[in-house]
Amino acid sequence: MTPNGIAQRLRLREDQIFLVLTILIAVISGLSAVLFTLAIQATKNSLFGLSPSAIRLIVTPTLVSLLTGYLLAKFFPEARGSGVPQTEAAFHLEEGRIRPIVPFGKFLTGVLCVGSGHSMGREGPSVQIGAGLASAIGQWFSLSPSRVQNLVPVGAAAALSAAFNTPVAAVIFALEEIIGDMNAALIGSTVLASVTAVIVERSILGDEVLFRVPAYQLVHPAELLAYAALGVIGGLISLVFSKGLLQLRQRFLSLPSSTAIFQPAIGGLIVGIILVFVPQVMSVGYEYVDQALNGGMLLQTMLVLCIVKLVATMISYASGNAGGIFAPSLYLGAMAGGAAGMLVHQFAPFPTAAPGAYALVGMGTLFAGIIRAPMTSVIMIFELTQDYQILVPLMIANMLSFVISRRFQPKPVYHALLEQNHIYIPDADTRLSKRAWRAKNIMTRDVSFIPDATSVQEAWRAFEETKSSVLLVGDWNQLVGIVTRKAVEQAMSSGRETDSVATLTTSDFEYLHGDQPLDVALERFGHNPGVVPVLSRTGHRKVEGVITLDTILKFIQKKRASAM
Amino acid sequence: MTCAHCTDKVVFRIIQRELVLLIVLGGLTVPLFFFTRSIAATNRAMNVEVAHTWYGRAQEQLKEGHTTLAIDFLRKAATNDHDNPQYTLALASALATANYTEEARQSLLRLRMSAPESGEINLSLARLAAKGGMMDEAVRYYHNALYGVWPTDQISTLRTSVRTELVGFLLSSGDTSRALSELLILSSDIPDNDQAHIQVGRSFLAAGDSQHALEQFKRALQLNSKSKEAYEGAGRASFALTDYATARRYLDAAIAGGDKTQATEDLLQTSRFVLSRDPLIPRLATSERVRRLEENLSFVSDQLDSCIGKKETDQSSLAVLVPLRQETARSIEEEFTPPKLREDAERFRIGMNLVYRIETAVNELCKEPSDLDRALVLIARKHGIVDQ
Repeated sequence: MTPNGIAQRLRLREDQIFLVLTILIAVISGLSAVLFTLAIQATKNSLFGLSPSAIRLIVTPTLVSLLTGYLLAKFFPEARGSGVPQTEAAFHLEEGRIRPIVPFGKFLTGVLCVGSGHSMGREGPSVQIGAGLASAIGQWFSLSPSRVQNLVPVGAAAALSAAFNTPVAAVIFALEEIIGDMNAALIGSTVLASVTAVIVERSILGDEVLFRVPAYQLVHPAELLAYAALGVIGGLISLVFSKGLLQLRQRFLSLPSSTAIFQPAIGGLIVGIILVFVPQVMSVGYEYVDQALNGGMLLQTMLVLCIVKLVATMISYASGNAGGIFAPSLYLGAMAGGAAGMLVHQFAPFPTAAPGAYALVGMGTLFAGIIRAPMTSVIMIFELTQDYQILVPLMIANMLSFVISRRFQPKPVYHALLEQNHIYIPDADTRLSKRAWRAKNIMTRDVSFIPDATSVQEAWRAFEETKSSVLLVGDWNQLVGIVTRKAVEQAMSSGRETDSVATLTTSDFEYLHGDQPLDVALERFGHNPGVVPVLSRTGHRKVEGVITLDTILKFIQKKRASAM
Repeated sequence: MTCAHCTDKVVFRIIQRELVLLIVLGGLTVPLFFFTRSIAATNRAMNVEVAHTWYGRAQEQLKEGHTTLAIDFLRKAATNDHDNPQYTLALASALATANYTEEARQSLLRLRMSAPESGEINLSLARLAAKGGMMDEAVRYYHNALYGVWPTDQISTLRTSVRTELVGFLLSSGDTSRALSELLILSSDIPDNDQAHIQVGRSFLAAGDSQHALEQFKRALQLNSKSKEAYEGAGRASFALTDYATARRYLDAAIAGGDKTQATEDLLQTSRFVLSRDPLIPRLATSERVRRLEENLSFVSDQLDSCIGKKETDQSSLAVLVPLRQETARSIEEEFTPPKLREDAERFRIGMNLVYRIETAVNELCKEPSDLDRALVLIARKHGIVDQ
């Protein structure tokens, strides 16, 4: 047998293995999501009992967060927060590789954080656990990098399907949010995984529903205007939540790194105090969403819960605990929608549906505005109601919320959270420009660095040796900035030979990531004279190479030669 | 050169490793599945226990009248144990009491989806619809409850109770014809004891079917000859059937049996007045007829004078009352003298018609009618002389 024959046989073999693994991973991810849910519930019951005292409400989240803070800082730094952005980053930037310890760490810290009353959700962590297990299994089987990468959305879809009991929405979420491409070739395996996981979940938990969803009815066509108004309100709340969360998290991140262990406990203390006054915002809180959906809450109660939940979630998340914002966004939506529905019901000059209908649409609206997955939100609410009538109002409200949120906060919250950790997910254009020539293929790693302590005279010598017009200041792991020949020449002529080159270095320069296409590189040459550094998406100013006009010419010549 | 045997061996080893890994993974998945199931079962048992505790607490709060707190506890009970309809039913009932009607209805409708034939759920929905004034929906759910599933040992009692409730609802909604249909069925279904017959008899009375009511009370008296309620009911039924003599007998017995209510005493007094002041009773001596009519005319004449005295500034009232007084004065003097009455028996009817008209006007304009006032009106009605 020739080497090509062996490769072909193994490739065929890998296809079959992938199919079997998809089913096995779906079962395991589904089980992990069910276990995660049960563990959170059991932890919450044992930590708080039936009627916790005020002291217990304050002390429990504080002490538990102290423990999780230590675990997260020392062992599982990737397990902080939701887990969805980390999964996206692993899929796009690490070829789907996730450390096998991460799903276990996420399980443990997620159970502790959400179970100790933090106002966070369980779906995001479930996604990371499912995706992490899928990646670990793929690596265990020594699958090719592309196969390991493909298993990540499979695990994520399966876990979400089991955690939220909406298999179709889980598939759409995996495509829309994790892969970022609704036309992805992985649709078959994600559907298979999602269906398998939901079967597993129902075989264990039965047909229990998350919410008792009321029958939906569009009573009067003019109600569409009310739903449009709800979309605008939802967009604004999404905006407040996203911006508030990012700003608060940035504040926590700017604290000295030695405080990282204690930051979750600070969040725990504040949330504990909030719980004394408003215990309804504790943990996931789906029972209160259910109550709002069924018209069991007063207008004032819903308004208070909407505001307090928003604040509590921001604090829980920004302080570095492990838990998601999927469930809080639904909670906020139900409260805002229910309150809006009550006002419409009272003051509209036309007949209207019950406030529960607005709470339902509100859930989708906030999800679209915060998570920025409008298709998932529509399908998810449709799947919960199984009623076609809801589609038009839902789409109107969701789109308005999505547009408003995107207009004033262009970066989706998951991506913005990653960027606070110096991880940059490629945008849709970059991901989808498959035919374009990418920077990583064009760049050279033949890069000259000078340390920032270098004197102007030594820098001048380096320019003379390299004949370059720009030099990079710093090293491979930390690019400080760039210095131009012209700036050094001027400093020399003005007698500043002994000055540090740092005084001439500009840190405000254009750069590229490896997956960005050639046209972007050419565009950025307009800002940087002669050289554009190529930086890693996963490290702050970590250099992968540089692109010069010379490297571009050489690349084109090489392409031509290979085409001939 | 490639060694074919060697490459096959490499491929075989890779495949063998993958197979082993798959078997290991599959082997891990099965116990994980059963482990998760056992955890879920433990969790479920714990939730059921927690739900039971919350339910107990809710019942205590309900007993103390703290409905809002009870609702909160019942919500927790229902959340922890979705499968127990008792919690949802109790929650729906508490919600309805606290006027969270829509949520109560939604909860019950969902519960009904899993047990559409449940008598208890349909009854709760019926009560909710009745509370919301949704007549047709309420009747539909009451009927579903009537023909629904109930615990076998209490089925008859519970169905009777539901139909009694339905009758009560129909009567309070003013739908007497449907109430009567239900009552006729109910009267054949009830247990043969005095209390059941008394209850049905009262419902017949409320529906305006005094004859059936009297039958029920009579049966109750057969079963318990000392029942003051049955005597009182029979008295009322007889009174409604204008059999005032029988009514007086039953009402006397009721009071003698211990019924000291004002209503019963008033009814008895009215019956006595009807019997003692009716000049048109057959087989009555003419002199007695004359005496009764004169007595009645004298009474209403005094009533009329007193009423005019009260309304002397009210011109619209006087426009009605003054002509009546003139007519009365003239009639007493000219028409209703004893000789003239002896000559023409029809004058007694004309006289009672005048009495009726005066009573109607005075009762409308001046005062609440007394037992005697009511009795005089009833005498006129009994003899069909009200429209003359």
